[in-house]
Amino acid sequence: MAWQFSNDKPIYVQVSDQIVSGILTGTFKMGEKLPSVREFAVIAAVNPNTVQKALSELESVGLIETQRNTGKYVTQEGSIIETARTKRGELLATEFLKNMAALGYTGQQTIRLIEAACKEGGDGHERADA
Amino acid sequence: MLGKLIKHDFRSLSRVLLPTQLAILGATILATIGFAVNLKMDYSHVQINGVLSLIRVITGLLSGIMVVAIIAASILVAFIIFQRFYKNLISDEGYLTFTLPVTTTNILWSKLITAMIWTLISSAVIFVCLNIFVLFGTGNDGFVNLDAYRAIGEALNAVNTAIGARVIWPILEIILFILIAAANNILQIYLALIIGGVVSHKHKVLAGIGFYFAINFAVSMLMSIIQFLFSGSMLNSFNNLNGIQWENKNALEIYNHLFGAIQPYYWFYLGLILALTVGYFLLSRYLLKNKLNLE
Amino acid sequence: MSEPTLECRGLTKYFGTNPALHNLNISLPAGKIIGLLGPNGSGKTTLIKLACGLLTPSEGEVRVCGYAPGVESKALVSYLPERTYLPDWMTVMECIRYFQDFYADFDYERAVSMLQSLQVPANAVMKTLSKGTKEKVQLVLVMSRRARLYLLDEPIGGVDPAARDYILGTILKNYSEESTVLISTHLIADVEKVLDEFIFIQNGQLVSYASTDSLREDLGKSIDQYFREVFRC
Repeated sequence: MAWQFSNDKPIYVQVSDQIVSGILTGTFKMGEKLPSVREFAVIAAVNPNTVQKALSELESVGLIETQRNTGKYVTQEGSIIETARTKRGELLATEFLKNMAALGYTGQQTIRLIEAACKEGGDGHERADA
Repeated sequence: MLGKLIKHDFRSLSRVLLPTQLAILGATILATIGFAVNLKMDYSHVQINGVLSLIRVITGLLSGIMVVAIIAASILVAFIIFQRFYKNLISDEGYLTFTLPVTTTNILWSKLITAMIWTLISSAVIFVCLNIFVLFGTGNDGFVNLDAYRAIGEALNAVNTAIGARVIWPILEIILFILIAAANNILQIYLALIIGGVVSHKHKVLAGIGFYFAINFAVSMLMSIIQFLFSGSMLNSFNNLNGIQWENKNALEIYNHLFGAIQPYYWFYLGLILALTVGYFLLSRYLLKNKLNLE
Repeated sequence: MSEPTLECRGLTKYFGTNPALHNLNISLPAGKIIGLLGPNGSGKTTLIKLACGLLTPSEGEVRVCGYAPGVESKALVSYLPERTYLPDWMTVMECIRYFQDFYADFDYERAVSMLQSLQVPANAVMKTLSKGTKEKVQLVLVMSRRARLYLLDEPIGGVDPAARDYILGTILKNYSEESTVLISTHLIADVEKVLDEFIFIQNGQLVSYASTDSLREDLGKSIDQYFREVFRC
C-alpha cells in the first residue's frame, strides 16, 4: 500500500488527507477499526509521531474516535463523513477550475467540457470497493 | 563481563591454535615411531641397500619435521596471539569491541590472560612432545627409554637429601619470574601495537613494530643505568661471597649462602619488571581509552 | 522519561589543531527519529563516535541518558557504523550469540526472525557473504537490541532501493517512545519522511535543529531542498 508523499508539504497533513480519502472512498468503512499508529507508520513508511498527529487532527473533527483499550475507529456518524466529502469535493472543484482558468478556459467552457466528458465515458463514477 | 570476554577471546584463539598443537603432536608421534624403528633396525648384518637407506632418510626427515613443526608452531602461536589482538582492537573489529558494555581494563585483562594461557598450553604441549620422543623413540633396548628419567630422578634425590624441602623456594621464584616475564613481553608487544595504531593511520603494523624496538631500546637503557647505579653494592656482595671459605661448608650451607645472596637482587629485578609490566598495562589502557581513533 | 537521551554541553573535539566539533550544545529527547545531516567532514561521525565512547571530548561533555560514556552508556547505545565490524571468521549465528552474551537488551527471537525473512543462512561464515548481506546482518543485530539510543551512520548508503525500504521499515517497526534514533545520512530525500526532527551541522558547529513538518509548513520546502540552499557550494 506504499503511500506517496511529497517532501515539501507537512507530512502529517498528507497522511491525514490520505486517511480521509480512504474513509471517503470506502477503503476504511464506517465503524471499522483502524490499524494502530505503529502499523500505519510501517504501511505508509512515515514516522509514528507524524501518524499520531494526523490521527489526532482527524479525531478533533470527529472523523475518528478512540475507544479506550481497543483502538481507533472510523466514526459511525454518516453526517460527519458527508461533511468531509462535501468539503473535499469543493476543494477539488476549486482546484480544477483554477487549473482550467490557468489554461485559459472560462467557467462556461469548462462546464461544457465536463458535460461532453460525461456523455463519452459515463459519469466516471467508480467506487473503490466495486 | 570479564569471564565472557575471556571465553570469547579464548575461543577465537583456540579456533586457529588448536589445530597447530595437534599438528605438533602428530609430527612428534611420527618422528618418534620413525626414530624408534630406525634404532631397532640392525644395519650391521645387512648391506646398506636402497630400501634401508631410504628408511634412514625418511626417519631423519621425520625427526627434522618434528623440530621444524615445534619451532613453526611456537612462532605461529605468538603470531596469532598478536594478530588477533591487533584485529580485535586496532582494526575494524575495534568498533565492535569498544562499544561493548565492558571496561577497557577488562578488555586488556582478557587479552593478557588468554595470551598467557595459550603460551602455557603451547609450552606444555612442546614439553609433552619432547618427553614422548625421548621416552618412546630413543629406547635402544626395549620399548621405552627410562635412562634419562632415572638420571633425573637420581639428581633430584641428591638435591633432596642435601637441601630438603626448602628447594621449593627457588623453584617458586623461578616460576614467578617466568610468569611475570611472560606478561611483560606480551604487554610490551600489545603496547607497541597500540602506539602504532594511535600514531599512524596508514601503517599501523609497521609503526607498531618500530615502537616495539623503541621500547626495547628504552628499557635496556634503563636497565644499564640501574645496573650502573647498583654496581657499588654488587661489588660488595661479590666480595662478601669471595670472603667465605667454601671448602669448609657442606651443600646446605653453600646453598643457603648463594640463595641468600641472590635474594635482594632477584626481588629488586622482579620488582622492576613488575613495575614495567604495570606501566605497560596502564599506558595501554590510557591510550586505548583516550587516544585511539579508529578510522 | 524526562531526561534527554543524548545531551551535549559545550562539546568540542580537536584532532591536532583541527576542531572537528566546536562548542556543540544539543539535547535530544526520547521517542523521536532524528536526522543528522551535513556535508562531508562536518563532524557527524565525530559526534556519533563521542556518543559511543569511541572518542573522548577535548572540552565539554556528552551524556547518554545522564551517563558519561562508559559501561552503563554503552549498554544503552546501539551503534551501526558505516563499515562492517563483525569478525570475518564468525558465522551469522555466532554473531547473534555474541550479541546475546554481551547485551542484556538483545532480543534473540527478533534477530532470528529478521534474518529468516531476509533469507540469510544462519550458518554462513561472514566472510562468504556479499557486502550488502553483511550490512543487513549488522543492521539486524543493531535493531534487535532494545536500546535507548540508536546511532545509525549511513544505514542506507550503498544499498539497493528494495533494501532501503526494508531498512527504513525496520527502523519504523522498532520505534519506541523510550528510545531515540539518530540517523546520519546524505540521502536526505529518501529518509526525510521518516524523520521527526533534523539537525544541520557544518564545520563542527550546529546550524539548525528543528522539526521536519514545522519546516515544511513554514517554508513550503522539503528538508532536501532546504539543505541544498543552506549548504550551497
